[in-house]
Amino acid sequence: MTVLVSLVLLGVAALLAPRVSPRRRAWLAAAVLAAPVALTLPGVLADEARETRSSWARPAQRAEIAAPLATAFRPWPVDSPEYRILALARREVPEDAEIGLERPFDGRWARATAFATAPRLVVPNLDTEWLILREADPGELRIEPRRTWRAGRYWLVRQ
Amino acid sequence: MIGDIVGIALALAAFAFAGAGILLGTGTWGLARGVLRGGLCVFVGAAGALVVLPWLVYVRIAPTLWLVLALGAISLAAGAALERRRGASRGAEPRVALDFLPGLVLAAPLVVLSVRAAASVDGAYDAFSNWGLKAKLLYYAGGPLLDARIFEHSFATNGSPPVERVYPLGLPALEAVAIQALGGPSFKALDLLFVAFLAGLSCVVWTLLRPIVPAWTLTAGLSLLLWMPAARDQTLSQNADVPLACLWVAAVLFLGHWLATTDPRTLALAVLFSAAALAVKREGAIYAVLLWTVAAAALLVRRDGLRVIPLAAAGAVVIATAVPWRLFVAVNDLHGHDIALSPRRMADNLDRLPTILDHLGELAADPRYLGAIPLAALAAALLGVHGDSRPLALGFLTLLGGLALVLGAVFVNTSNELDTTLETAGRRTLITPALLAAVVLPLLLARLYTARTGTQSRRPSTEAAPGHGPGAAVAGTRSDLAEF
Repeated sequence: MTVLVSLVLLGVAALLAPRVSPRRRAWLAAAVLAAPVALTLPGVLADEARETRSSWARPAQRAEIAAPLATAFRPWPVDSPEYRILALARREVPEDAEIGLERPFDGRWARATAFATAPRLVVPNLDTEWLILREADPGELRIEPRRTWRAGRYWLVRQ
Repeated sequence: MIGDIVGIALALAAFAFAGAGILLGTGTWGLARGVLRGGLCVFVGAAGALVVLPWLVYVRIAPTLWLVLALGAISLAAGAALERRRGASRGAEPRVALDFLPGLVLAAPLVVLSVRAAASVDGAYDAFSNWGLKAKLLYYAGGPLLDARIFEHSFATNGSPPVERVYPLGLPALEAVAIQALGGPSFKALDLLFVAFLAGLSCVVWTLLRPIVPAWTLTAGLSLLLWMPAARDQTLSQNADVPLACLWVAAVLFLGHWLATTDPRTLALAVLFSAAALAVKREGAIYAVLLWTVAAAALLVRRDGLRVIPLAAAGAVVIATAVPWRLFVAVNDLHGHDIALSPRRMADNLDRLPTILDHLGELAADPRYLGAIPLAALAAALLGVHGDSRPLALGFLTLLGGLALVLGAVFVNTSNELDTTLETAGRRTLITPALLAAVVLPLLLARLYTARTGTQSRRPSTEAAPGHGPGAAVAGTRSDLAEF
């Protein structure tokens, strides 16, 4: 509707333009340009105010962890296993350590882990001191961990 | 929060330092004054950093705030020396200023967007998985030498590496500088850097179009750009598409200005912005080819063949800026996995083109783009009929059609599933034609509604630079610009 109304206004203004003074033609052009803004501005402001209010309520850390790699590219909720395991890794794993991921190596999960845990280096093998597992638990992979943390099906392992 | 704002302001000030040098060096310092000049300095400096920082990354010099300041100092010294040498030989020029009330009106959408940016904690898929990840790794590389691990095996662990290494590194390098200014990664705060691109484009539009478009027409046109929901959402997604669109549209405006006025200084800035667009995304290369082709065609149609030579030389400079990137890609034997342009794939998938163009057409009519594309297309079509400004109308329609074909070709060549690709990438790639349409629209309407009498609707509020030639030179520039 907004686009249609704006197009009609543009056409009508083109017909009116020769009948008004040059000074008023500038206002005619301004009115045509302002029409789509005026028609949508209340909705835009309401949406943005709502989003801003809900954003303030979320932890700032979410921007560093909740990479929108989950279903339909929506960010993970802060209570999701993915978010919790990455938050754990950021807290427990030293910054100069490597984090091993098990194969098969899922590209999206690898990117999310690399982004959230940088500068820790994500590597595709299980020889590292620190591991994040999601396809299997440490026992299935015959890993003897010194310590483990768990969030849903995800494991953070120090071996 | 205050720390984030100070950090981003610090990064923008560093870019402005370099931008001032570029404006002085290219002789465009006098194009604008006041806050408008400040905005141009930031935008031009960011464009310069986008071009130069990746070259240094490829030779393993990490992009840091100190490096930008050092480059800025060199640029400023060289620019000031050139400006002094140029001295009195410089012609008079209109110094455009941002009027107070329009400035206030235009600041509102940017302030609201900045508040939203400061609160936002959600980015988009590509922002995290590609641009942001590379920026973080570039930042953590620390020290003067870049840690090589960003290019190592962890990002190429199977047939389709998690991170496309073939992409140019301009945006991650720029973000790495901002991250350093912020004192560490804060992707919440980085949103503000992206808002600066929209603000920078607005400064370019006001500087170049204000002498030929009445103030409130231009204010309304820029309001359409700045309140466009799609542009606002895309800006805060931290994807590379909004920076690419802003830089390329700025290049279009500067090249258009050069075509209309023969001012070599604006050709230099067209080269800079086109090269910066190329340093942000691979599409920048195709967009540059499109822009230069349309410009060359315009010159040939006008039987102005002599100017094709400087245009070709400028195009060669744009291509030369991409040589380090292409060398890096060749030396490391990198290949893209998402899109690979090939004549065979093009021929095989050509039947997809109507579906793609239909989808893009539907998106263009989405109210989230505020109808910028259909409005501009209709205005250009009507203007083409009138005849007074037919070159402008035809030039714009050719660029718009060219963009549609380029996007069509990109989607035809995607190696991913078409529906998913259109669903995820269609909206963000359409932002370039939408921004182009939005910035050209006030000019088209100003022409359309004055076309029948051929008179300028209102005397522009520009003034000659103090100490320079008489107003005749300024009037001459305006007259030339009327052909823009």
